[in-house]
Amino acid sequence: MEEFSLQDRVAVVTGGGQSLGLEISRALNRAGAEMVIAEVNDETGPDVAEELDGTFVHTDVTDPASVRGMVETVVGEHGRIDVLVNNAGIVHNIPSEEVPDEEWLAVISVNLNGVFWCCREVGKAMLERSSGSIVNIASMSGIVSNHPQPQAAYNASKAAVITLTKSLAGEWASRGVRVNSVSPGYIRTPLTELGMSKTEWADVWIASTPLGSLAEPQEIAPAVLYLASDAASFATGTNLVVDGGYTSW
Amino acid sequence: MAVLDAFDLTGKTAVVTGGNTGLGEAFAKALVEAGAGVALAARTRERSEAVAKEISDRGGEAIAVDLDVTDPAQVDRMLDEVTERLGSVDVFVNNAGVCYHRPAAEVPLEEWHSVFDVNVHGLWHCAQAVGRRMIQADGGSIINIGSISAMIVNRPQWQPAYNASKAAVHQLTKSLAAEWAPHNVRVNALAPGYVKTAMAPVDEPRFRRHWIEDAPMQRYATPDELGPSIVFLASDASSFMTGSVLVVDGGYTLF
Repeated sequence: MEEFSLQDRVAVVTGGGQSLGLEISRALNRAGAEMVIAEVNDETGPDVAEELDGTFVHTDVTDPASVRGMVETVVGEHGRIDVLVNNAGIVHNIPSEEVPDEEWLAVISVNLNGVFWCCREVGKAMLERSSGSIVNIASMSGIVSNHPQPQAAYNASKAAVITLTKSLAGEWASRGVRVNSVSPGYIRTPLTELGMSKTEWADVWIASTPLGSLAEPQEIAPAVLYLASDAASFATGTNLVVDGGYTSW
Repeated sequence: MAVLDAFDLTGKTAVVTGGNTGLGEAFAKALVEAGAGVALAARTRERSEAVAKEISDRGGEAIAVDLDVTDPAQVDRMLDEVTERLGSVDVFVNNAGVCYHRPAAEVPLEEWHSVFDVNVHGLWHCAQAVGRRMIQADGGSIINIGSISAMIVNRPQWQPAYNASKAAVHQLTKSLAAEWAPHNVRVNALAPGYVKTAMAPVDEPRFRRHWIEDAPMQRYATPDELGPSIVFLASDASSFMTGSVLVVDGGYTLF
């Protein structure tokens, strides 16, 4: 079972100070990783870093300079990055015909561009050492269109993350860097809190999920640990769907 | 380590069909390492006994049980025996499979049928029988061994029956997952790429061009390397996962 251990590994989780990112950070830490919480929220980030005896680095994933700075800081302090989890993400529920330009750009900026900036900058450092594992948090929304709520930008961004993952995996596979994605279904987080408060959304979500419930963030974190660790040493470019069976229907 | 607890299988009972050689043997050993008691269900008793002894000698719990997956009558008998000796079955790995390399135009009818008899019908017999029991027990995890051959066409060798049979396994996985999710019976598939076993002679020079060089990682896997994936699928670490096909192929299906 040592394959699942992250002892002596340095792991960066974007959005690691909140929600799913928090549970992922806790899981990786429990597996032995030295944690870096790369977070835009200056209140939650330091708290989580303190809880896990790790490091908080203020990071705005939409800003390539901020991402470069984060990587410099981490490599400077820890010497390397072994694991990167691109978790930071946002969603807007707006009918497509009414989506303002800036809302579309905001979602793509965090969910797609942010993932690429982080993969590129951390990837460089990993390629130098011919070693590393990147896990991108995609979504079942990259495979199916959610309903009844409108969220075209989110869905498109997550489909892009799945294909970006496969592209980077193909490029970097022979150079020791693995890149995989996890595609969760509905998870009980602040992102789905609004929807769960509306019966007309929540009922469809539950009824469309064969397992009949939302996932707790703690149920997604082990999938991230599995892919991040040596347990998945032959997996790259894989999109691991953890959706309670949602996409079976 | 609480997160590692999610992967723990202590006190669980698992069955691996074809569990006495190749990938099946590696899966069985990984499940034992995670704490499970494991039944090696296969046709060749002597080989099963040897693997079970090897596991027991190292402190693990494993038993050998007779099973020809193509005979539905044997499946319930085997499950009764496992339940009696190890406890009710929590994890079932449908691993037994066969593959023949032959151009489609030359495949004899009996060979076509023999592939489907094992890879599809055999898997169905086992899944149905153990599924009934898991529904009664209100929970369980079934893992079907699919293949990248369900998604791509292998080359240079032709293996039409195998490829079609594994596509059936993937879709059957989703069908059973959707149907049995309300009973807390999870059904997922593992789709390996090229792994060094008797079934896949990865070292033969004539296969290198495609089997190895076409894979982004530029290598094959060892059976042991896939063990942790089975532990992940078998355990509570994947409690929200059902109907999924986990591809572990060194990137083969990317290109």
